[in-house]
Amino acid sequence: MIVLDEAAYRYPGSSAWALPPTSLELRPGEVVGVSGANERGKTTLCIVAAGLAPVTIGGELRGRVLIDGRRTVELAGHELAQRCGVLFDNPSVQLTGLHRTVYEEVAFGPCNLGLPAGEVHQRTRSALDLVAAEHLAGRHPGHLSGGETQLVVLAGLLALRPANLVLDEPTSRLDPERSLLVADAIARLAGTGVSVLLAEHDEELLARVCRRVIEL
Amino acid sequence: MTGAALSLAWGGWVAVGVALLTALAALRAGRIRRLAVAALALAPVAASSLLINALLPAGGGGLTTAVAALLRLLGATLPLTLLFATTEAPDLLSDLEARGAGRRAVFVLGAALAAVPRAQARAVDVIEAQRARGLDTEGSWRRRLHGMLPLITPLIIGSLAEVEDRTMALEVRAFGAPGRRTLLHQPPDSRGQQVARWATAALLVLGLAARAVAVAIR
Amino acid sequence: MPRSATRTLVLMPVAIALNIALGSTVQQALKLPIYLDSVGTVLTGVLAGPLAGAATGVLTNLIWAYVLPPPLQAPTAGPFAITAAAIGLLAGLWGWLGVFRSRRAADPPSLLFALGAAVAVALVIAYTFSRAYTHPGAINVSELVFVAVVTVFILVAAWLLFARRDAGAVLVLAAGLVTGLVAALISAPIAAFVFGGVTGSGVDLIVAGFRTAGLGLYQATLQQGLLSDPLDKVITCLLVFLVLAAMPRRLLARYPNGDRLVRSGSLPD
Repeated sequence: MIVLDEAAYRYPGSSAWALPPTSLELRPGEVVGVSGANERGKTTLCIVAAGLAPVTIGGELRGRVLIDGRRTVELAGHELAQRCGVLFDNPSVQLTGLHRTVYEEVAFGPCNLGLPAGEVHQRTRSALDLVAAEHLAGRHPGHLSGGETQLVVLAGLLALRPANLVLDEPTSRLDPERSLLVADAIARLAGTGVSVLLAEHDEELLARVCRRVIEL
Repeated sequence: MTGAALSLAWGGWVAVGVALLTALAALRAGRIRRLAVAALALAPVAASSLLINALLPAGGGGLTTAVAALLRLLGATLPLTLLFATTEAPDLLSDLEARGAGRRAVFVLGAALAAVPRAQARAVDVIEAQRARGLDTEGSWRRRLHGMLPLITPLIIGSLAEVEDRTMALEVRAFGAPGRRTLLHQPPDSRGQQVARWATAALLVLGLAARAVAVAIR
Repeated sequence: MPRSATRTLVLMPVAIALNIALGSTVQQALKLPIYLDSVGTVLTGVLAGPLAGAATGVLTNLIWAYVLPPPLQAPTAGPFAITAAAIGLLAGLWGWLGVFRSRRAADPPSLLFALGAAVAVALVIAYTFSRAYTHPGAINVSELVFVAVVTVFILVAAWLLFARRDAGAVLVLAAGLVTGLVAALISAPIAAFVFGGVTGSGVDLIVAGFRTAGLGLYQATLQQGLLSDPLDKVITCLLVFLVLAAMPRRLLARYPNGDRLVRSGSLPD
């Protein structure tokens, strides 16, 4: 569950408020869409909701942003990662580039947490299963298509078992076919009780998966 | 690595020995071609050095100096090249981490290796753009410089912008978590390899110490 | 892990790759003694401090020389990792001193300061050159080169100061020259000891020329370095300066040296 309470944000070194005071509530299992022409505005809302702003990238936050009842500013990066995953529009920059197989790439998150090997394997397998990407497990992450890459990155996020997910234009660089793959994964996720905030310009996609849409 | 260090310190016959040992190891590992290419890469330097030092021996240079320097270089380059030619980078990195290198060092090394081909491709695009304008053969040096700089700047700016995205992508994968990472692959480490490691380390220390003593005495 | 640490960790590999990519293409394409293989090192040093800069430099050279497969592999780069470390350390110093901050339309005190820095650097060049040669037979060559370099430097600095009113660029120019000098000073003994004084490229003819004039091995290598290194490093530093000036502030502010790079309210977001 994500709650924004009159949250306003400005980037580091900037005087203008990139996000004007905004209030928003995302309930468990709900898929809420964010539409509008302002690309930067949508991205800002996404990273504020996920806590990356200000925790990782700095800047100033006014008002409150709560994820599952905890204020984002009180959490460290890895704690935020376990509560809220974030998927961006550019597939390739989200791959770590460190691993030879998709399986290891997805296991990256749980390994970072130092979880026992057994649990790492379990989480990796279930994450791949959730996005229907088990068949990619042995492939090299650098040799995948854009859509497959997005699924792999999504699996990597889900391996941390966040209860919330923020997606910033996840299909903008994908063709319609691949977009469907991602859309299906989102719908399945919502079914498991994960709250999803989806920023998209693709009206069709928004209509398909979202219960309600906010206009920015 | 011991071989490389000892070659640099001692030069001369030690370097030759190291080079030969490395070549033999390379033959066994089937990597002799890679070693040969590396050695060939040194050829221009070798030729240049021998030529200049042979013809103009004044003030500290001379054929002997040139040959000594070359042997040192060869002895240093070949073993290191072999090391990376026979060991896959990911395995090497896992091994490093298992021995306590820390996730940050491992990340920097691994990410750098992955980033080089990407950056190389972008740089080649810049060159192609220059070529399309015919600037690589015809233009004066000033035009070449002026043509290239506006192409290089976006390359650098793009790199910096990429850093922001990648930083967020890493944080979201809990990279900043404290404590030791779980390692899924433990590279095999036999008793024989352990003994060999200790022996080489001892050899390194003794070799360097002996060299220091030799220099001090003189 | 502190917030800016991850960013630095992400910057370094990108910078290393930038170094290698530029270093293996620029010189061939331009056919000038400009390599730009330290752009990433200087960038990292200025943004993230001397240790990060030095590490970037060292890793660049080591990876380039031993880890990369042919055709990218360049074994001659390995021993110069020490020089690369020095460049990174210096860049960290410049970043900390705020040398790379954009200072357009500067006020008189800044201009005077920049001029002072330029004069100081010219003096340093003079001293270095005078130390670099010992053989009387070489006196004409070195002096000519020395006079030429100082003249060019003063001309460019004057143009930047008075025509463009950009005091920042003059400081960067000075920083680039000092970096180039230090690089040449450190590289010369390495080149002499490990390579017998050559690099396997066209500049060796220059070294040969110096040797014919009677200079010793070390001096000849140093002279060659003093000709090509400052030029390369000055262009590198100016390039980094231009790039940083063009970046939106939010992208710079989060680096360890970020607050020394942006002056409040001066640049757009």
